[in-house]
Amino acid sequence: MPKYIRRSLLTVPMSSPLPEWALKAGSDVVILDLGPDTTQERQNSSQSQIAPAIRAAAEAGAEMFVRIRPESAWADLELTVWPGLTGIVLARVQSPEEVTEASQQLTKLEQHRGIPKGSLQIDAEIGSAMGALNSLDIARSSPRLCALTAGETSLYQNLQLAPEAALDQDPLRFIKGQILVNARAAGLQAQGMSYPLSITLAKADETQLKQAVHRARDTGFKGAVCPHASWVKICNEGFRPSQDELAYYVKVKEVFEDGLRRGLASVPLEGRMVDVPVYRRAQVFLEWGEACARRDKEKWRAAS
Amino acid sequence: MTRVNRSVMFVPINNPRFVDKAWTRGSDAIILDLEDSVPMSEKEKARALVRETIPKVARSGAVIFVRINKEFIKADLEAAIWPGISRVILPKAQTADDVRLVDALLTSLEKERGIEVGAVEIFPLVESALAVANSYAIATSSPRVKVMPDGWGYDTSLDLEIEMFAGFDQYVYIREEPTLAEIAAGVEAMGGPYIPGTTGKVDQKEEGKALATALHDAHIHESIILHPALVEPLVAGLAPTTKEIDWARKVLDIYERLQQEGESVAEVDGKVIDIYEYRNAHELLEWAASCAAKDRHKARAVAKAQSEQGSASSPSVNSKQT
Repeated sequence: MPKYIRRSLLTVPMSSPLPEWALKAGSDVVILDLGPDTTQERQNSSQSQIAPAIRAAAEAGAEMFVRIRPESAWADLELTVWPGLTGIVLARVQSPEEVTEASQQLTKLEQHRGIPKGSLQIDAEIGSAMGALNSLDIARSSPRLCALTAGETSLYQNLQLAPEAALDQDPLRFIKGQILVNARAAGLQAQGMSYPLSITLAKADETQLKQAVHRARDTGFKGAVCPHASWVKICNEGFRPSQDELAYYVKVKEVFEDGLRRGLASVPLEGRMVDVPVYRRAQVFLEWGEACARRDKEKWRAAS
Repeated sequence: MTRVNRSVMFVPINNPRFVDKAWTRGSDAIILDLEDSVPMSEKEKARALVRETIPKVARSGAVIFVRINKEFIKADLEAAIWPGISRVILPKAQTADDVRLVDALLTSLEKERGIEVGAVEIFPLVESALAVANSYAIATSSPRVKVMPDGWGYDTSLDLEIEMFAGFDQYVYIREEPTLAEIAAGVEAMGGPYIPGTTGKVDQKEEGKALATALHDAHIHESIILHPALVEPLVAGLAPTTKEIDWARKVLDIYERLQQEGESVAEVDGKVIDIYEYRNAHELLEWAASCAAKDRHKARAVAKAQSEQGSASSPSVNSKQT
């Protein structure tokens, strides 16, 4: 079962207080985006406002992350790391050193700002060929790492691809597989879409989006960054076992356990073969379904 | 003779019904499974069955492999490595060290039991994200690794928490990364092509045919199967057809004539014949000869077994005429 239920990661432009729509969207995660403005004046003025904004947002039910840009990493961290934050998204990571450096800075900030030591997580966003090649080393570079995210927009730019959204022709499928496998090899989970929809940054067609989310889940991604609030519900419902699957896995569990009582660990079910890995998957999917339901309840309680 | 394992069929060793029939299925190779088809409570019993089961299932002329348990490597090998076992399937190999451990144990068992040292192959199964990430290290870990699969399968899909049969090609990297690593390591890669499928049913003859065609087109000679219904389509489908053999002979003739004339490229029936086609033709004919030899070997073995058994029910044997 995925360690973290983070099906929808809604990107929200940093402002204080955070806009009502963002807090009410129901996403598992809110990622605060600082935007292009990094001037000192803005930082000075907003520092005092950001801490309460983060606290308020965290109380609304979503886990809070902030997106840290490599070109202004220290300034971004100083500005945004306050109690209530779950972690940071490290944008366009190229090497393991960037992660260890950010981690050291997080340790300092934790110490100065009353945040439990080592609690802040890092979600490394891979957005370049170099990052993809180094993704296994990146995934192993810090105990703070929780996930690798396939940063499609950056990947498209770095690889100089034309944004053609066609479900069967995702030019990033090998690279996304690499990110996904290397994340998992290091014990992390991966976030992303198996479809270049997130580069459109727009309100997407619902049917298309549902299909894309389903594909992403079936490729192994545990959630996706949502550029628009309309994506949240579809991601929450798509990045989890469906009701039909859960019903099927209840049956798998039953026939396998019945087989075990007869000394068999390989039994047929509706033409398929059920053996140990299939049984284990049934257990995982059932647990995962329960964890998603718990998370939904938790958010619902926080919001009401 | 080149290794000919077109169909590699799993047989749960603890199920007498499957074991007794295994030799009648015509499979090129049989895996005696000690792992996932045997419940934990039956492991010891299963282990004790290997030695007597080898000659039973080998009556068909198949080569016999054994799949051991990752958590009982030593006990399983000690119970299973006897003359007649030519390959150990090592499930859930994660690192090169996993393979090296099996290698060392095999060497001492071979010495002890009168088997040529190094004769038993190791076939590491790539069954997790970590194994995919380590596939080059695994492929180069021991000279006993001659052929290796890709990472597609139930266990990897479990590791990624996804369904196996999604109806689209969800394993691009998982199939291709180990395949690249194996080719780079000089190991025969037996994974690769994507076969569309949504049912996950294991006895589908039609899907078996599609699988065979895709493998054959990709020059892959082996496939592991879970159901005897797939033996026939694979044994037939992975061997070259008469048409392919005729064409390959023609290519050899034409290319050799070209060389005598000091030429290197010609066009025949709209196809370019060059050194590449010539080498392909050579390989195809060698493979065809090996398949034919294997088919003859199996036919002889079955005839012998049947005469020994007297007038017992005659098994269906798949042999391909070449």
